[in-house]
Amino acid sequence: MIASTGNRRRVARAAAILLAGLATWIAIGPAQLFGDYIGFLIVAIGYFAIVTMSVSMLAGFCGIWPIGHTAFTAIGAYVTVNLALAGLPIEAILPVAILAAAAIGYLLGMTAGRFSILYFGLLTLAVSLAGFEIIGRWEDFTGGENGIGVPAIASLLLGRAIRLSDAGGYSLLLATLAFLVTDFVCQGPVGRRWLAVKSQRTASMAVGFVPPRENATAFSFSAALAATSGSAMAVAIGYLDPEGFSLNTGITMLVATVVGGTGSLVGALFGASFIVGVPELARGTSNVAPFVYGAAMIVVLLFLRRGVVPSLLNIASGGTRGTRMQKQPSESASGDLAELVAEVLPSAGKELRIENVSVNFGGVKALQDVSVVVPAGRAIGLIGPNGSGKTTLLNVLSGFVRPRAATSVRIGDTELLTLRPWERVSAGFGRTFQHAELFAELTIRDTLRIVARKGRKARREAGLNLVEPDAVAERIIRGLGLDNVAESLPHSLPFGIQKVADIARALAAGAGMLALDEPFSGLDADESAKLRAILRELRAAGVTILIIDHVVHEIFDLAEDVYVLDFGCIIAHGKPNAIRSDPKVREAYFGITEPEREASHA
Amino acid sequence: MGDLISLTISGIANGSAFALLALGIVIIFRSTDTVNFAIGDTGTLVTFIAISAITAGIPLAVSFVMAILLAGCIGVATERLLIRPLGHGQHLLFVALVITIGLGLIMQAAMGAVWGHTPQPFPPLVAGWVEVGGVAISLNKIAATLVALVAMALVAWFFGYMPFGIAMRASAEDPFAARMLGLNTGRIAAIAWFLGCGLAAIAMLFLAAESALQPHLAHSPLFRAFAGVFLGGLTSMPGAVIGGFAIGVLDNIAGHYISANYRDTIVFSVIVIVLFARPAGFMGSIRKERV
Repeated sequence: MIASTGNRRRVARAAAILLAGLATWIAIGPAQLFGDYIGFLIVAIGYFAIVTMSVSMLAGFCGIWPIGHTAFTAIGAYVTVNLALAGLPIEAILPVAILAAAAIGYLLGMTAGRFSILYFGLLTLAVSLAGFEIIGRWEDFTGGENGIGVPAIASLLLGRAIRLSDAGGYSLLLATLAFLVTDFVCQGPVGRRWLAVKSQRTASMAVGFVPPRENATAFSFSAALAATSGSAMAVAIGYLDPEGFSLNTGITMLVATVVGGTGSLVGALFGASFIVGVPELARGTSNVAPFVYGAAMIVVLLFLRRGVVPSLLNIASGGTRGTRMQKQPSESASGDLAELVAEVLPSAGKELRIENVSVNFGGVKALQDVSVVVPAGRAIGLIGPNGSGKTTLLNVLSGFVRPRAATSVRIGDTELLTLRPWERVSAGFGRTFQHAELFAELTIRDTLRIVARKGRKARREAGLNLVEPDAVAERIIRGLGLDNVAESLPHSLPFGIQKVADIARALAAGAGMLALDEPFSGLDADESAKLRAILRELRAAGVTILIIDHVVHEIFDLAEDVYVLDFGCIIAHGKPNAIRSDPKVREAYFGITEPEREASHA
Repeated sequence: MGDLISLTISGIANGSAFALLALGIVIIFRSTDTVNFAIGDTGTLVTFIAISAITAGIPLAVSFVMAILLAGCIGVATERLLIRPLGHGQHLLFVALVITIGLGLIMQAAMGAVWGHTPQPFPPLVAGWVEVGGVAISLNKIAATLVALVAMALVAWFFGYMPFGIAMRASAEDPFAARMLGLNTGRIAAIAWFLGCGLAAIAMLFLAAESALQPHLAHSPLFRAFAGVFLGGLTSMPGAVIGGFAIGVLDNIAGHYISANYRDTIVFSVIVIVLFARPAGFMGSIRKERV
């Protein structure tokens, strides 16, 4: 039912975009409501809205701020002109322009993960400065400093050349299509994956998302949009001036993005209207526009951080978004988890075998020859004081730390060490995080749906009945008692529920082996009891569990076997009772040996 | 070969301005995690004020010192009024940068409105030319290089030997621990912004004397300074200085041997290649983020 409401909303949004595009076209085209000049301004808002949207979606959905997207509008514009000079029709030109920008954008986007957001922003700036210089000098392609006129472009659909009177229609058509496609992409699974990677790069890898690939597709898509804007600009203006692709123009796009609000379609439209409108209103008084731009950027960022449109929407909706709501989870549907596991996990119950793993950080031996076996369907505890190497071991399992030496780390028959971090969940390895690390901008339901898509293939191959991601998500929500909180954003939820949602996320990914990083830390007694019940049931249902925690008594309660790590070495291994009385363990934890203790009592 | 030597020497002279700007950028970044895009425009603005002061009859040296101090004060005000209210957090890195872009726009527009856009001649500190390896270098440029070196030496002395400078370095390494030890992070930020913008003012004064003064004077040198910062690493002060000089030399050599038309492109291509090899620059460190 909820799924269909979501679809209905998306259809409604698409219909609204189409109607708006059509109405604008009728107003300035056939109906001639405004006259040529205003009509042209509206067209300009159209093509600026496309490029603003390309910057805004990248900033809003990926956290990547391109300072110099002008390089890509330039590709769109100059490819359009040159192919038109070669006599190609617009229907052939546009795809070539878009593909060229998308390909270059993909290459650039792949590098985003290598740098901090800051460096990447400055890198795009460098690209645009170099691009501007090339435009000024490469006269055969761009006409150099003098610019280049746009020739008559044939159109197969019209059956004739595009006239100046068609140019507005072309821009508006492209703007409408760009908005439709962007809305489709951003509101769908792809946009949610981008949001997941943006807020939790590490956790997103643990459920199988590939951050470099997501960044690259996002940047490529954004570059394609920018090129579309460039093509519309070329046709609408009829003449290309290099100044249109200068750093100043790039900064103007940043102004539009900041003022309108990132990640918002209406915001992009508002921002584009702002950068077209301000110079128009300030005509006659020279140099007012830069003042207004600069001041607008500063005021918006200081007082309406999210931009004008999202902030106004937030006020209009009574500010309910983002307020803290205490929600009680419904009682976990007890006894149901065995069924849940059978229905949603493709491979419950695989053995985890860690053999002879050593890790060095510089001269520090973080792990020395560590071997741990978690038999299929059992719960094993790993304890140790701070700095003993617990987290390092978990990071080796996740693929974030490469061991200096290791015989093997296997799940069932699959060797994990040769797999990239995001490939490990398909092998059945899932993990949770000490701070839950849920995707900040996705509701619990959206998170589970998007993650469940990753597990679809494995579920189908395992012959499970429940394969469709939405159905899997609903099943997990019901099974873990998350119904009441499914539509909430993580930050509005109590920590205990966040931790349950973190487990739900690993299950949605299809992990049959769970490594839990300090699941009980930060929980109150009530929350701990609920979590303990869930973990007991998962274990009973055949899920293999490795618990890593400080809260020793919880581990003794749940685990059948306990390993103790100290200074990177396993110092003890055995049944909880034996571990409890092991003098070496007591020494590691309390810093004193039994004889000393007795001596001090005496 | 003689060409190469003379190109290197004049490149180092050009690079001193980039190195000063780069050093200013890094000092500010280390203290408040802010890339100050308005740093060059701040320098240009006080240079305009200096020229007005000189025209009004105030001695050159006094005008210059006033300009440098004023730039520092503008820097402190920027941090207080625009950056500090934002608060802290990784996601604010870019917000702070965009705010300084906005400030730069306003400053450029203000300079255009008050002093106009036509380039104005600026009195060189030292008149005359000297021949080095067959290339004429203005005495002004040599003086600029010397002043830049002295300024850098002072900065190195401040951070290396002065207790407060050492405290500032400690604070950049670990702001939390610095606060726990009772260091006044507000004062550290103020001094860093003062120093950074002051250095930028020295750079812009000499660049103006070298060419002519106009509101967009900072544009090209600022991006070369950024390139230098890329090379050296955003967190390393010596790295930024060496990077700035290296860009000056690279710019000169590329302009001479490859193409004078594609200087930006060549400089930035080299940067991109370097970044792929060493994402943190040659002397910078990638901040460890908790996994």
